[in-house]
Amino acid sequence: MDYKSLITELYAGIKKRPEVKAVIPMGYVPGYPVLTIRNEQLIVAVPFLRYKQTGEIDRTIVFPIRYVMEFVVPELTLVCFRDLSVEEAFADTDFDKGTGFFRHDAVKDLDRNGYAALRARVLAGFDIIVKSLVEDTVCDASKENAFKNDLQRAVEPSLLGYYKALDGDFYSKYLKK
Amino acid sequence: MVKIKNTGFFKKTVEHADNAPQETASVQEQQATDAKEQSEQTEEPPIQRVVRLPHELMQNVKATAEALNKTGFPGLARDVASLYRKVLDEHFTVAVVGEFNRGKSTLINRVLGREILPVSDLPTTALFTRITFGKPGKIKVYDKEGKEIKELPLAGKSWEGLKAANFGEKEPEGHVVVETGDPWLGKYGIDILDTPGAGDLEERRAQVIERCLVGADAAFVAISATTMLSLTEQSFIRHKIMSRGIPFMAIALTKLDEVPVKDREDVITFLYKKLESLKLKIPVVIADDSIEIPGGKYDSIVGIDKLKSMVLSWMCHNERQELMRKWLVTNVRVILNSAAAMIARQKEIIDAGDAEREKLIAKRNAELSKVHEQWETLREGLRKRCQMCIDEFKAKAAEYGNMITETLQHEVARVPVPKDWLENEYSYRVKRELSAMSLSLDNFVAKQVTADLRWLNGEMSRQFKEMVGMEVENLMAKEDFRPDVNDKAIRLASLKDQSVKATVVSSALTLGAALMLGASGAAPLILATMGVGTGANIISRKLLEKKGEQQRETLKKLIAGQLPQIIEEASADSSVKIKIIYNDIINEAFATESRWMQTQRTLIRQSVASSGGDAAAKVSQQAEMVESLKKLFI
Repeated sequence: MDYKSLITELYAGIKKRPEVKAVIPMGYVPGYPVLTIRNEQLIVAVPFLRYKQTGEIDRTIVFPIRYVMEFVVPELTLVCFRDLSVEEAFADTDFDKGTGFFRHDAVKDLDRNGYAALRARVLAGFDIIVKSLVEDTVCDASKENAFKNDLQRAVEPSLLGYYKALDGDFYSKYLKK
Repeated sequence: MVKIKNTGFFKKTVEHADNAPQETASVQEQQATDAKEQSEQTEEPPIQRVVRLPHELMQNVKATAEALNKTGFPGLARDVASLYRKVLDEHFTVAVVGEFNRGKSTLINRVLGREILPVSDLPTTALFTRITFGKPGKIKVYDKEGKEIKELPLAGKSWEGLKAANFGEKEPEGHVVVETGDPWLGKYGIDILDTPGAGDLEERRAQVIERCLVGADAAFVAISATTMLSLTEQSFIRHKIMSRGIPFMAIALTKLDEVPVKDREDVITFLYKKLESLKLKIPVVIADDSIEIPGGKYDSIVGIDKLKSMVLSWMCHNERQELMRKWLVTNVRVILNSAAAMIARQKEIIDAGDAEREKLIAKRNAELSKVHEQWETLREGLRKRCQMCIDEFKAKAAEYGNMITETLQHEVARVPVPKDWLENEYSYRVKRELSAMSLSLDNFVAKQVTADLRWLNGEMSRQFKEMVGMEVENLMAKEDFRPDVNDKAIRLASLKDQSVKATVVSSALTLGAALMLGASGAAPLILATMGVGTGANIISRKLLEKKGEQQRETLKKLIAGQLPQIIEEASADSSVKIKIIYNDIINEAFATESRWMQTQRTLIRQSVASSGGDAAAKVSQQAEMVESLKKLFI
């Protein structure tokens, strides 16, 4: 089986997936995924959050990550659905209150196409990691470094705390600056 | 299902491409890395001194403490070490002030990058809040006596009960200290003070703001872009900040996001023009990273980083550095002089013959008793001066009251429509006049306190020199980096770009405050007028149903009847506050005396025990050592 672009493909069709249609409210979009290994299985956790356009440039409000769907790799079967608003760790989070703005500083120099290219690169980076883990091969350090840089640039700083809460190891390895 | 073999993959850090390992790191290496990371996370960052005193000076202070300790002066060594630590621990306090609903708490939250303080459209902050570095984050609540009454977790819910009582309940009193792990505060040793809204018509709040300003190194005045520089804000800047000699200040323009994007540049230009017309040369900063201001003309003042760099530039200002150096040198010299005097007395006793020694010791003890009596006389003198200050204060307040009454009556006689004047102007005019009166009275008290302190210092210096041969440089040394009260030349804030002057007057108040802060965590106030109500709204409309001239006469009577009462209310507890300042000075003097007397008596006892060649040689060595140390602090 070819695991070359598993995450990219997952994201390309995620909104059409019946599980997503069934439980994720309208207006929520997938953020960058988080990878985690549990019981020797690779899990990709897809966070969902919403944005609110204000009509002003770079003032689109970013809301906290509200839902998380976890798929097991490589089958991409849904294994867990989380609504963070009912979890104790997020008891103090006001999910109706913006947490930051898009575009953040690191991507302010990118236009729509530039940002799309960055997002594509990040997802391709996930593909590389997934492939190396599933096939148990050594991940190319230069590619992994490039992925780390792209991911750090792409993720909204205001969401970093949520990513840390989703998986501390993944956060420490790729998102912590 | 695919089983992942490399289950620790995400626990390892990403290697650089050029030194990627061929195999995974060993367990030991991993543990070492983890331990290092852990220690980096838990260890508090040392304060990065922006103001750096000369390395040589700091080394000398350290060496002095060590030398004093080795040569049998452990108490004095501790005092020097304490000075050294104070310099290292010196925090730079930035007060954020302004009328209520000007976005002060939002501004602070933005600077700290998280919602530390609660924000609301209603006036929320009833207590002054000091935000300082500390881990883990917590909220400590102190009562008005400065005693810690509770500790709460740093969370939104903790603020319930600490907020202003907007619905008539009794407001909480005291102050709050918020400890947060913010790296910027930790790295540079910065404290931020959040204050209640200055426009509140509630006297106690105005007092809280004044208390904050007394101890602040710098101030940001939050001005809302939607209500630009009101009359009370102008008055506040002039009378409460500039006149108090806050060394550094800037305007933080807030709520610009509530102005349409196209108008934002014009609003800022308007602010600058207004400041220029008012002859207020104050820098402006807009601490909002997400604000869009078209045109790019004001890019240089927009951003949280701009506010932060402004604070850092204030911190490393030359005058501040010079003040710190002077403070340190003066205080070390006081300690060394004290040591020199002690040694000289000891040497005299040791050198004397056995028969003579007894006489000398008796003489010294008698001298000490005399010194003690003289201290007591000085304290009594200071108490009398305190009473004189209070009497004069009362007389001056009454005099000012008459002047204000006459001024306002004169004004009433000339206004075209007295009713309009009463409704629109009266309240504002009274506040303005009272504000000016407050300033004058503050200045009067400050001058009196300064003069009396100088007298006390002079007397103590003279008597010490006469009685025990010791030079006293400044026994009332302050606990803060402020201009020396005896040094008129220091004008801390006479900076080129700010028409702000710190005179000896404000120094005296600062001194009083510093002493008070040291004693009880609270600072004194002389007179607060920001919140004085005029009672204009309670005047019966019937009074004004009369015609022109009758209205004027009615108003004149009203002014004559009301103003004395208003002034009395405004200055009601001033006598108590003046007494507090003086008492604190007296207490400080008493503590200094007790310390000194105790040391002297100990030395006399030691001298009795030690005699002969060895003791004499030792004392000579000590004297030489102290003299050589004194040369380091000229």
